[in-house]
Formats: sequence, structure tokens, C-alpha cells
Amino acid sequence: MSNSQRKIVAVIDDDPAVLDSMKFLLEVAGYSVSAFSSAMEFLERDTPEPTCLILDQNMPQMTGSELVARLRTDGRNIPVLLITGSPSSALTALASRLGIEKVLEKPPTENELFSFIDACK
Amino acid sequence: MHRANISRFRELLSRTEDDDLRKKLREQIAREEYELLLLADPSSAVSADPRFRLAAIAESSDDAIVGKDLNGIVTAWNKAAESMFGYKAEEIVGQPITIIIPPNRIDEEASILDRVRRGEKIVHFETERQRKDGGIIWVSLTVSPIRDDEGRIIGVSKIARDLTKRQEGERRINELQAELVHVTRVTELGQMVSALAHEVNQPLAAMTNYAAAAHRLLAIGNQEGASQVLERIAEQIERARKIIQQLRDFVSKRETERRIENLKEVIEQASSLALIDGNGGVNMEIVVDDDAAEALIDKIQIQQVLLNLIRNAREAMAESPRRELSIVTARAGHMVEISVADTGPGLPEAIRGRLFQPFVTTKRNGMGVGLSVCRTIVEAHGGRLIAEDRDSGGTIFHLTVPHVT
Repeated sequence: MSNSQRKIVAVIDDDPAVLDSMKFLLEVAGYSVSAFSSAMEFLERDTPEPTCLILDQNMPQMTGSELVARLRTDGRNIPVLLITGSPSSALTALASRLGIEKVLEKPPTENELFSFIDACK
Repeated sequence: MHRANISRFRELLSRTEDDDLRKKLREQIAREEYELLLLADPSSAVSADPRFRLAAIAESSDDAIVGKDLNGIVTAWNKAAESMFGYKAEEIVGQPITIIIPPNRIDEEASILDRVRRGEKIVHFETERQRKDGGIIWVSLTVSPIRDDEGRIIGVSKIARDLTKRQEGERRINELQAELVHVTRVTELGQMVSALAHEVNQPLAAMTNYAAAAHRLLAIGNQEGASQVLERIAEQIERARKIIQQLRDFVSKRETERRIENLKEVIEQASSLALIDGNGGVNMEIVVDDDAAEALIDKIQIQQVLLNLIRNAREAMAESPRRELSIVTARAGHMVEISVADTGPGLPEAIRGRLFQPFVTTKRNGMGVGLSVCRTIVEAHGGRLIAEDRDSGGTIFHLTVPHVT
């Protein structure tokens, strides 16, 4: 975990407990975490570009995939892990068009989570 | 009335898959059809007209159906007459009907026969009759002439309903109604299942993360950190437990239980359940008057009504520029009035008058059972449920429930 200190993971989830637990776990694992309770908050807050983005799909106002579409339009190609409570082939297809690295069903296992982050450079 | 009930029951039949309820609905339809036949032509129930299989109906009727000639001699006696009066058909056919008339009522028979000979029909005449074992029963009689093909009066048909049994019938209707409320609640639940699954999944996701973190903390010997995480896990377990409790309350079918309830709590819980899948951008206001803060209600049933009204309001306002939902309580004599007001487009003219009838709906995928069941629930509490237009646009529903005295 020598170089993990330099990785910044951004987490976006509208559920405070899910957000807090994800932030807590990633911090215990040695990452630097910035947490956001909505897609809008992520767009508005001026923070250094994260190494990767862990994103909830099902959020009011702007969904996870809508945010990624917006980021890609703006030329921001951050690797994205999209987490969804209701996986579907339509969502998987949409995710691959948007260049989303991985779609996982909520809750992802520890293994799935860290193998995604470890692969991000 | 009977026709409306028949079509209502038929409609329900086509919408439920529950075998038990379907059976009961079919029985109810058969009963209403029989009532309808009786109203149309009471004497038909003893004729053997194959078009209506009336002989079979008469035989299976719960009402005693008796045929007499113009001298009062029994000519027909169905199964229900056997059990109501205690005489077998073979014992009484050919005997005078006066056998079942108590001595103090014996004059009635002559006057009934007189009226029927003149072509009159006697409807719902309440009197006493005597069973074979000597017991007196209270009955309602409908008596009409039987005519031959030329229209001559050749006999008398008499239908006796045991009034001591009427209360039983009313009880059955209440039972059926309670069952309908339950089925509707379960249907409503079906629509909410995916929202609830999402809701339960959230604390599970949080617990998964916290558990993984605790594991890592223990691996590096950080006991204190791990025990703090366990507390957060416990909070999430409690959160999941509450969701499941709400769910269980919502589907549980039980005797109605009226208690003194805190209306603020009742309304707040109903709203959070109603808007569990999102509030649709609606601003919500709950104002509970100090003088109307408690009511004597079945909490789950009244929450069911509120849940329906709130979900309807949210849906009605989906296209409105202003989306404000207000729920206000006020004292009205011995009652408490709860008003649920929205800023939607108001009630469409076409359904205004039929709003509380079953299967009337403005929703593309709606069943339309909601408001009729709501009214049933409120009326069972001795209250009223009405809808009005608001001066400022939108709709307001007023429901009243008993205040604590």
C-alpha cells in the first residue's frame, strides 16, 4: 500500500450511511477519499481531479450515468465504478457506451471494490 | 343496487388471482343474481322455468320457498324451508300451511290469502312462525300470486327469510370488505416492493463496507477503531429492522384495533412510507393543531388512507409548476378533520361524481380501488371522506375520525 496514499478516490452516494461507510472503508485501506452526496455537488465543488470515481446509479436529480455522460462531454475521462441496486442489460449497455469501466451490483464485495481501485492509475 | 354489486364483484373477480377470494366473490355474485330474480318476479323462484334453472336455485336458496294453493295447502317446500321450520317436504306437502303459524298469528293467513287472490303482492312482511319443535322464529315474508298461462291466479308463492340470520349475512359482507381492504393493501404493496428492496439494500451496503473496515482494523490490532465501527453497524441493523417492521405492519391482516394515536406521528409515518420511492419534488407541510392532535383510530388503516391520498397527490402534481402538499388537522366537534391538499390540476369533470366508486381512476395503470376502500375505512371509523376543489386550484380531501373524548 506504499503508493495508495497518492490515489484520491471520489465517492458519490445520496445515502448518508452508504457514503460514510464507503469513505470509512477506503480510508482504513489507506486511500484519500472525497465524499459527495449528489452528482451536482461533485460538479460544483472545486476539488483536485480524483484518480477514480465510485458512483451510485440511483440518485435523485442526476443519476450516476447522467453524471458520467456530462463528464465525458466535458472531456473528463476519470475511470468510473458504477454501483446499482437494480442491474439491467440496458444499464450495462449504456455504461459501455459511456466508457464506464465497471458496473457492479450494490453492495460490491471488498474484492471487487479494491481490484477496481488498484487497477486505476 | 344488485346489478351494481354484481358488476362490481365481477370486476373484482377479474382482477384478483386469489383462489379463496375468487370463490367468495362467485358466491356473492350468485347471491346477488338470486336477489335480482326475486325482485323481478318472486313467484319465478318456485316455477320450474328451465331458462333460469330456477328449480335448482330455489332448492339451493338460503330462503325458505314455499308454494301453496289458494286454500292454503302446501304444494312445494324447498330444502331451506325444511331446515328453517323443521318439517321435511314429504311431511308437510298436502298439509295446511297453518301448521307453521303460531295461534296468535292465525288470522294473518286468511288476510294474506285474500290479498293474493286479488292479485296483490306482499313484500317484506315481518312476522313470527313456529318451528316443528315449537320454537318461534322471526321471519320476513314476500308473498305473491302464481298465475297460469292465461293469467289466472292458481296459487301462492311465499319466500321466508329468517331474520335471525340476517345479522350473519351482514357480518359476512363486513368480512369480505375487510378481505378486500387486505387484498388492495397487498396489491399496493406489490407496486412498492422494488422501492422497498432498494430501501433495505442501503443499510446492507453500508454494513458490508463497515464490516470490511472492521476486519481490516482488527488485522492491524486497532480494537478501539473496530468497536466504533461495530456501533455504526448496529445503527444500520436498526435502520433495516425498522423498514421491515413498517413493511410487516403494512401487510398484516388483523382485527381492527382502535387506540388513541398521536396524529403527528401517524401522518409523518404515512408520508415517509408513501414517499419512500421519492417525493417527486413535492414540498410537504404538516400542521397538527393542538386541539386536534390525537384521535381514536386504527392506525394502520388510517395510514393506509393517508398513504393513498399522498401518493395520489404526488402523482396529480407531477406536471404542475407548483408542487405543494399540505396535511392539516383541525377539531370539528367530536371529530378531528384531517385535510390533504395538493396544487395539482384538480379533479377531471368526468369522474368527479364517481370518485369514490371502485374502478374509477384517472391513472393509466391504476386499479381505482384505492379511494373506494379509503372511504370504506373512514366510514367504518364513523367518519366521512370527501373531495373538494380548492379556490386556489388543486384538490383537497377531508377525512374525519373520532376525537378522543
